[in-house]
Amino acid sequence: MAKPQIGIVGFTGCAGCQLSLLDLEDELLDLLNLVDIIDFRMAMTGNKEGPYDILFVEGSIVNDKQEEEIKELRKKATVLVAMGSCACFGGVQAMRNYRDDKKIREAAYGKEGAKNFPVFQVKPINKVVDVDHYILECPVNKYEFLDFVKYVLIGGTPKLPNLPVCHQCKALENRCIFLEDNIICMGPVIQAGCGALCPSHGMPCDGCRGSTLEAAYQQQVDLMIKKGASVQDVSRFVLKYNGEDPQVKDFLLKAWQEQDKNLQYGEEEEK
Amino acid sequence: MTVKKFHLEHICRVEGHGNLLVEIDGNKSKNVEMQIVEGTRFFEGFAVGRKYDEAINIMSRICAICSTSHQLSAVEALERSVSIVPSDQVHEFRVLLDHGENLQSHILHVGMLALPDFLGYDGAIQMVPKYPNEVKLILRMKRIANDLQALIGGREIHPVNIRPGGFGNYPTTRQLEEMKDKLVEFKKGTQTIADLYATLDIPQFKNKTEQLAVYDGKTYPFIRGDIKSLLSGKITPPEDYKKDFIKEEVKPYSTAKFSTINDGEIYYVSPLARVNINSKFLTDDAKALIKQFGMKLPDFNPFNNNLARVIELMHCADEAIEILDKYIMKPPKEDNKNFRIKAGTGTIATEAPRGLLNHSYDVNKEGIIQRVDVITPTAHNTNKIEDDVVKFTPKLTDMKDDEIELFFNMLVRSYDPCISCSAHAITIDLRRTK
Repeated sequence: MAKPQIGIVGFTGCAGCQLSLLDLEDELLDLLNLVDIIDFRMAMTGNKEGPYDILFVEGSIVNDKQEEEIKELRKKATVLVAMGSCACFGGVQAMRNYRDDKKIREAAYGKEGAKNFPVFQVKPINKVVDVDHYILECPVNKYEFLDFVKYVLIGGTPKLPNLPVCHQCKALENRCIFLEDNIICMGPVIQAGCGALCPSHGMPCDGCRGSTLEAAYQQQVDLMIKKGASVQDVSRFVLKYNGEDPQVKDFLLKAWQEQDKNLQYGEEEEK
Repeated sequence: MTVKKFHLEHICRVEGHGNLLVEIDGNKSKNVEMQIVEGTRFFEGFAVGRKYDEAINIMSRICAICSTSHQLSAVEALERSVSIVPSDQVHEFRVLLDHGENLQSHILHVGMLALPDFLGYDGAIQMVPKYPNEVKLILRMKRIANDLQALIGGREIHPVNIRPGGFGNYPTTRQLEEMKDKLVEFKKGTQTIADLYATLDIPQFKNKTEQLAVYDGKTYPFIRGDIKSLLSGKITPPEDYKKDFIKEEVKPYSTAKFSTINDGEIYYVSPLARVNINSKFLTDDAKALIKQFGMKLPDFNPFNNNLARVIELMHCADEAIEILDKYIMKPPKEDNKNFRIKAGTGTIATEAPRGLLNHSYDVNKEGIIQRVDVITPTAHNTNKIEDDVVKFTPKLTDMKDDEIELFFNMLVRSYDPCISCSAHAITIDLRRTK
């Protein structure tokens, strides 16, 4: 079998997912025996723009130019994988979608100046092109990336574990800081796979991996309120990394907007 | 004479999306634009309205390579805002974590981003057949640096273990001992890298401009101190960074701002600026490298930033070992987790791997952030990169076009620009917009 041709590209984000792949120090050389990396601008010159057997895309789409670019890249890729919170759910910058974006920019650059920087709503990759697979976490979990490549090499289809962070946290026998110490934690509704990293450090789950399938947001929020969270606390905790996660958006804009009147979703697009 | 136009689109082996446009007329540059085309994310917009303790994780997403610096700067500045005073132990563990980031970022740059230029390769991946041992050593050193970040911060990128007043938890004595052994190995590797860099043909170009770095007069500081100017000797307290000092302006071709000091003076920040300003506080083994490289300080050659990075690899490894030794003898105590917060302003100057970083916050008595301002190293340096191009172009007339192109690429890379960082946002005071 010919080696799969792999591309790694980044749109708007922090480049942490690409850096995570470079952090596979112990596995990188073995990996290179199995795949050809033909496009990875952060790490090398002499890049080829496709065709890609697998294209890994980091970051969110924040302007017209990027939208055109990702559409072109999609045509050259057999399999397209969104990696990390920005590509999957918009990332932290998607918080901006819930504010009056136009006002923010005009305040900063002035009315005329703002026109130099045509920015629209932050979009995850699947709002612009079809995405075949998702690899989660902020930054992306490099071992899940490696698992994904292994699956592809042996011809299988990787699946996400549909378990909440609590599941892995319990297995590690961590003290539950949410129930026992009243520290607001997103573990019950967030997709596992990180090995309950934050709770294992005595810190609450920050929610960076997106929702589990059919996440019970209403019950989660009821518990948060019972543990002393205010209406604003709830909005802030739910809306962090995953503004464009359909379940988060659905909960915030349908069930929660009645409670928190300040929550508003900006215009879809400004031309 | 014809005008030659170089438009280096999407410069590789740097973090983020940046272009350099240079138009050369005869032997002079006519038009130079360092175009940062990274999409803006408006961090200073959406961090407003957040609680002070949540903002630590959010601000690190400005950039991955310096996520630890952003978290440490945020936590230190926010603690000042709400009047929390962390213990000396907390400070030392923060320094230890920060050194993990310095080691990681520098070995990534000198080993994988810069070295291929000097040896004539597309990237470190392509160097493997000819230089297998070097690439393996660089990857091993990078692993060790990341192990240090993960041990203290919980993860290599975007640490999870930092909170106001201290850490979520501390490593065990056994873990500290293992880490120390690895850092001793790292130091040996650094000498090998230094020996390699001492043989490289580094371009000799000088541009004498003002340089800034954090300074405390006692140590080689990364986290706490004032801002010292190299040439004028001026010392500015961190909270006065915008008071008749640093000014930012917007240029239409870039999403990053451009900065000057003292009404229009070009300056820069970098590992080299730190070495120039604080060399006498380096460890002995790090000082020995200055000698080995034959550097005369102050040094004004931006390409020597790579040598400064190697010097700092040695220094940071030395200091990290010293801190580890202390806490191997006397294990860390648990932090105080109960504190009352007050409203206030907190401003701090720190050193990210690429140079000076400013974070400033206003927080109200409920702990909600009212104002955020951040100036990142690459935003400090955009004017200087353009100025270098203007100054160096007349000396490039003997070069072929592809050599000139490589030269400009290497010049931009020597700053190790962190482009996501520089385009993270713009200053917004939401109180005014409402």
